[in-house]
Amino acid sequence: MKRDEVYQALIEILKNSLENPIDFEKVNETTKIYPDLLPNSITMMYVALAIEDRFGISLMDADFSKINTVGDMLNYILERAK
Amino acid sequence: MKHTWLRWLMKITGWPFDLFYLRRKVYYEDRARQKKHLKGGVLLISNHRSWWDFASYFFLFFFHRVRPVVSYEIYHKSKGLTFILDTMGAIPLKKDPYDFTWMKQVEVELRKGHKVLIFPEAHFIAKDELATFYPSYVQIALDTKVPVIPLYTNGCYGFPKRNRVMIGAPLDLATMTEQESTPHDKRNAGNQVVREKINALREQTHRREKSSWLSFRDFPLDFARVVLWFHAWLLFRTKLDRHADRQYLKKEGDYIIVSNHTHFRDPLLLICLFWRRRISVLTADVVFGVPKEKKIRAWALRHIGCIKIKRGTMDLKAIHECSTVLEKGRPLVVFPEGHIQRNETLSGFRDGAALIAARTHSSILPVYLAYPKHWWGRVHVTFAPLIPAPESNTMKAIQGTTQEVRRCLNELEAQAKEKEA
Repeated sequence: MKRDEVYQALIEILKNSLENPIDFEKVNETTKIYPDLLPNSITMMYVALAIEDRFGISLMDADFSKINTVGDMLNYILERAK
Repeated sequence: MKHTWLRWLMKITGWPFDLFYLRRKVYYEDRARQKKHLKGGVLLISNHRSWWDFASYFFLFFFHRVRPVVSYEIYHKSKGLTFILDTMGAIPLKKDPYDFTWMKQVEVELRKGHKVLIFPEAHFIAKDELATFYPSYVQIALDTKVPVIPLYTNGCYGFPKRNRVMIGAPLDLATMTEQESTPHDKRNAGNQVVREKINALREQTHRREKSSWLSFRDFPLDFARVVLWFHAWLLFRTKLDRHADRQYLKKEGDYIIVSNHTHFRDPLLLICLFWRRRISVLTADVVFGVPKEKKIRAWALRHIGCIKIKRGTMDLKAIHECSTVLEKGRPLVVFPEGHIQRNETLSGFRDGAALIAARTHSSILPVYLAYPKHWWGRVHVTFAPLIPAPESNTMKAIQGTTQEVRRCLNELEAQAKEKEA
């Protein structure tokens, strides 16, 4: 999978996870996931489950304390999807 | 044929192993056409999940001579295996596209009136999915004009699992592919028909498995249901406020029961109330206690259907377990407040129940439990109509469903308080 494709899919998942839409033009790989994008644990859970379904990977043993930004999440998905 | 007495010896001595280890349950698509009615040459076509499939079918057609087609590599893997497969009457197949000798041998066996078992996927598939079917068997069926019997096996072997096999009605591929002009089209059309039929058998088997009322694995839960029901009848004394609510207690299929949580007895009470169903309860990890010290408690809770969740964390394992329970067609109890509310006022609703509903497309059944003021009073139970699963898998739809559940429970709470006053 190409990095751009994964990034677009990830942004789509993040868009679906928000109740009120925000300006995703300003979102980039350095944007912090918590609390800038995902305000609570249930939205984090939603995103994790959506990533599992979309990319066919398991995040059950993932250490989410190390995933702070959109870029971290992108790298993590690319690493697991290999 | 030279090993006839050995084959019978193998069947008789292996029969207890089949009975206690493979534990096969056979279903029929059409009960009027059972395996005992099979006469003459028949082509048995099955999906392939495990090496044990050979043993399972060997014992399934106990009084029939079934010759399985196995790959040449497996057949010659070791002398012992060659001897066993030879005794079973296996026909070796070279994975060479220009070698048709096995097809000739199969045709001869079918014309003799024997049954031949073919796994058209050519290798076993670990997942419960069907891979591509190779269509050579269709040509054999068309040439010999024998019926094809589709079979489905769930591939679950070993105690306490249970192997479930569904035997489909015979298919006459020659008639079914009459409209096709070329042999190539006939093969493809016939192959498509058989694959779709096995897929349909797979879905039917799953449906029947879900509706099975006797299960060794669920024995602790069934035992607890009986014991708890008796205690509930004696101690809890529930009362349904509306007679029409009885329909929800008898409702079949998967749904999420969402209730207020004012007392530690709530999960027990709901297990008792829905005693007809095997229900699971999403339970906070603190209830399970410290793992090393409360092993028995944790074991008991797990076996009576409690699913452990770590509150306030990303416990994906718990969500996956909940999805599995619902996919099995069982109800799941979720307390969206997350903890016991002693003041008996609904507060702090979380989206977990709606999130699970969105993933599994399960409906939500709101229940309100109103405890009496005195210990001798009865617990009044009221239900709101079923709320459908969120329309889309977006957070906005999930939160909308949570709001709807909350509104229903607030209404039930207001009604209960009005009645009490």
